[in-house]
Amino acid sequence: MNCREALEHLYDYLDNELNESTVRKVKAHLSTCEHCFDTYEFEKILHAFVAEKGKLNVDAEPLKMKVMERIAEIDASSGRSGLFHRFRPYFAAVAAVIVTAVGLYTLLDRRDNTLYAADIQPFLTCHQKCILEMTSGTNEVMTLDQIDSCFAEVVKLPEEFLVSSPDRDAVIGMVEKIGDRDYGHMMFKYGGNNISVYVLSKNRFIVPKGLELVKDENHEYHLGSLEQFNVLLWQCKNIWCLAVSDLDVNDMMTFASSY
Amino acid sequence: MVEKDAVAKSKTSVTQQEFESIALVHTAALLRTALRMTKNQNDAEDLVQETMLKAYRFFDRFERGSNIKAWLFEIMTNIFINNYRQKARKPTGVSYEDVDDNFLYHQLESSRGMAVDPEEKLFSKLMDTDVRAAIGDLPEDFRMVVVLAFLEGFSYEEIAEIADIQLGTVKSRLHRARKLLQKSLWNYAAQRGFATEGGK
Repeated sequence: MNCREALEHLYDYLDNELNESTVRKVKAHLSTCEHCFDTYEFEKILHAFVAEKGKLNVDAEPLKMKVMERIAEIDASSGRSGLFHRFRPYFAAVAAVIVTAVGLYTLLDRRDNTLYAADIQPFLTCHQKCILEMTSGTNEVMTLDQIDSCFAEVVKLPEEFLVSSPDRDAVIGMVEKIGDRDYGHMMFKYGGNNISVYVLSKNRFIVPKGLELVKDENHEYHLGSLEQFNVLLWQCKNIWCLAVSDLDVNDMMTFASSY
Repeated sequence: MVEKDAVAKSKTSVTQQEFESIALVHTAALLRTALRMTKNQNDAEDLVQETMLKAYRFFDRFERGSNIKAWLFEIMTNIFINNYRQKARKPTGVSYEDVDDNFLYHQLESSRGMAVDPEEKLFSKLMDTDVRAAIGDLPEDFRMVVVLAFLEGFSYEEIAEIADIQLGTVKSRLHRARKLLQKSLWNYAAQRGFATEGGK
């Protein structure tokens, strides 16, 4: 090994990333070459110096306590009932948000461009029906049959619906049929959080890349995030649902499981 | 029903205990790194908390016996990239191409002949705050690999996994980061009068 090679290996050597035989060769060279030896020694000391001095001193104890408390809370309130019941009162007077259809486009598998993305301009007619259903004072989450009954004729979505409109004082839901697929979209606010649920297809949905698979005993979720929103995709009685929300993922899953 | 609840409860607390003993012990390491990433105490704490809660949620998917620290860092990096990066990211116009390999060492060579060992003098000049500032000044991508490699002791392979980049990218970023770091340390030492003394 010559000096050039030895110096090329310097950082890998310091980071313990060389295999044994190369390490032996480096050492052999260093034992005969003062210049390389000094360079290695200096870099070694510098590395240790940076590692020692650069480390921030943090007191993580308060944060640990906080995390444990949150975990205990989550465990205590897990199961269907917790969020579901907290959720219901909000249905009557929720504000709606559209988390732009762009998010939907992004998540759709590109191979199905023609089917999904081209003219998805979703769902409107039934949104009034959905609002009625959801705000009629029953304070009940819509059943799947109700959602099904909302699938109706296609009305093009006005442009302004495609941008974020956080101050609408209604639950908004929209449905469109494209071929044999149904697309529905409902939006509401829960506490200070926005929820946007897309009911996507009665038949199949290609799970987009980048969503991770999470299972519990009853459901299979595909979980990921999109900009600042968490994305949850799950299948409920052959209907694919997609929730896009700034809710905590745990709350989203609780919400989803209440469907 | 009561019995079932009791079973569920004990199962929960076992999970909590296990989580506490194998995951929560890395809170300090996560927080240190989160501070490096976000450069803001509140954001860092939020990021770590979010990371821990997500880890807990998916704890049953963690393969027991594999590297939990790397797993936690991977979760945190993902959350950071998705939720915090845009907020924290500033455009940087750092150039590193004009910095040579082993920059500091070569700089010191010109200082040899001084009575005091120049290396020792350099290190004694640099304050802890200088080293931290030099790391903090690195552009985000470089800062991340430096923190993971130097300060948290992750291997290249682990870093590739954590930051979701190629192994080659880890190496090249570390290489460039080292150059930048050395240049920066030299400047800090110079501000403390090192270079001028050395030139005498």
